[in-house]
Amino acid sequence: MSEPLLQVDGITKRFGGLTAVDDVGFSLEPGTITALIGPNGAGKSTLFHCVSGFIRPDGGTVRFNGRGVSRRSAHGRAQLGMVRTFQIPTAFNRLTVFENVELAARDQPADRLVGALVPGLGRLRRSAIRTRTNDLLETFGLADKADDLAGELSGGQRKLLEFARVLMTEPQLLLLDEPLAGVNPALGERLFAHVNRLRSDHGMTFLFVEHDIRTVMDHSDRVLVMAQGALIADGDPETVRRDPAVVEAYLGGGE
Amino acid sequence: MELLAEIGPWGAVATVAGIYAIFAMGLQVQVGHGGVDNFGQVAFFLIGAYASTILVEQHGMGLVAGTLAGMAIAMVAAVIVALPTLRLRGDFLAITTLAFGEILRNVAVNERGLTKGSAGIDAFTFRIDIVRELRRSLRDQDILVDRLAPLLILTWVLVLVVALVTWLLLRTPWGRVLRAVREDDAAVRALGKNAFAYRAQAMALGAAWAALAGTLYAWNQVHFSPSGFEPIVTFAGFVIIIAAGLGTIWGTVLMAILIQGVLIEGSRYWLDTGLPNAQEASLRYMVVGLALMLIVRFRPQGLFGSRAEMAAADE
Repeated sequence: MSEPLLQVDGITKRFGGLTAVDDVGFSLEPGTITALIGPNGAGKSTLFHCVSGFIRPDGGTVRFNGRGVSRRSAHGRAQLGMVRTFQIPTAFNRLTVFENVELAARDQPADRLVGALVPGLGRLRRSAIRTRTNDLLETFGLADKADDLAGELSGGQRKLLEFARVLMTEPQLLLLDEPLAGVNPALGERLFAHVNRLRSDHGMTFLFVEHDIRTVMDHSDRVLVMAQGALIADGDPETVRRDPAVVEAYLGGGE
Repeated sequence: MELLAEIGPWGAVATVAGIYAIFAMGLQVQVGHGGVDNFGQVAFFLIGAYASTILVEQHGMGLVAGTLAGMAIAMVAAVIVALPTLRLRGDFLAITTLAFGEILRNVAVNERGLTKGSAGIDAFTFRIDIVRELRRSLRDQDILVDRLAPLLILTWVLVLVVALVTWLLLRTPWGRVLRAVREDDAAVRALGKNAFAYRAQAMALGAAWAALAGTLYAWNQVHFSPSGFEPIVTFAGFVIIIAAGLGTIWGTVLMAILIQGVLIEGSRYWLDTGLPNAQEASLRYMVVGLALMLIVRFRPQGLFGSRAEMAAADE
């Protein structure tokens, strides 16, 4: 295969005496859907934060598209096309649903202060962004909510809104932090239908975190398993499910 | 012909109200739109007043250049304050900025070579060069104007300019991202936008408006000292923006007139309590406090704010 889209090497993060992530490395090929699972406290979220740039690891490197991004800020990484979501879906409550999606677009000259001072700058781009915003709201069934404040949405609608919003940034790699948390099964299926469609239509790559091994079986090509800060298994869902180390980690007793 | 020949005490009140409208507009950008709880806004007011006065009176700079320099210095100071503090959470940020304001006021008290300390400093160039000359030339054409009228008019022209610029700027995609930062800083960063830069820019813009207000304050006072820059100035600004509704622009202008103008500055002309001055001054603040409590209790979104937004924020 050619160069991986994401290459993570030797990520280590300590909080005081606790090593939350211990020398973890993996790589993701373009167009794949990978699940990162593990019991509570395994270090999944910490690893996720290190990869997305929200916390700085004590060691290790992250490369995206053949480019070292370890020194880049979280927003700098997102600009390159690796964009994350949050466990608890974030909405900009006092902005409208439309604005929530619209503002996420990249290359908006007037979303910088200097650009905003020039009247009429980026007008063409703005109309293209509006069209795309409408398309995304349509796709995610939020079109009739466009003018509502995002704070008025239900939990499930927020999840969809967050999804529409990150897609507005035109990411290559989507990092989904527990996309199924607090989501009813029907909505979960809908979300993963979108994931599959985006992969087949746009070649997008996905990495998502989940607790429960069963939920990821049908939705991923590959599963990474963490326990106590270390990567203990890596393979296709069926192989991982039978892996004795994984079974032990999940049933406890891995002391 | 007479043109504002005798504007009386209400003219002076209206000037102060206008100065506070500009001052509060800066807070509205920072607090209302950026979610930056800046409790040290008076520091930038002080910088505007002192920097422009020192540059104009002691270094012979023009009035316009001095004013702009004061605003520029305040903006630089805002960014410097922002660097270590903007990563702090709400209340820590509030305490730190409050301290910054107090530090600057104490510097103004003690750095006598620059500020003449508690004795205060004169800013008479506007009164002499502009007002006196203007009145003289108008008198030659038989037009009489009050000596306070030029600053009153200038202040209110600037109120409208500042409000309009702020309103237009906050309507742009930049303003939209700024409000998104207020709602959720991490989510904005995850979208590839530098949330910190937006908050720092909001601080700088708000500081520029405070500095402009500070310069107008200096011209209005003619003589001023560090005692004019107590934290109460910042809090008066907060009362205005909360009573008006966080985020409102034109409501802020109206509330500056009502609170700073009618209630605080103006009440001595319409309210005759028969109390000694000091007690009456305290009574004024009690009335303002009570008014604020009533507003927060019965209209938490402020007089001009949106109830729907207020409700959505709590989700």
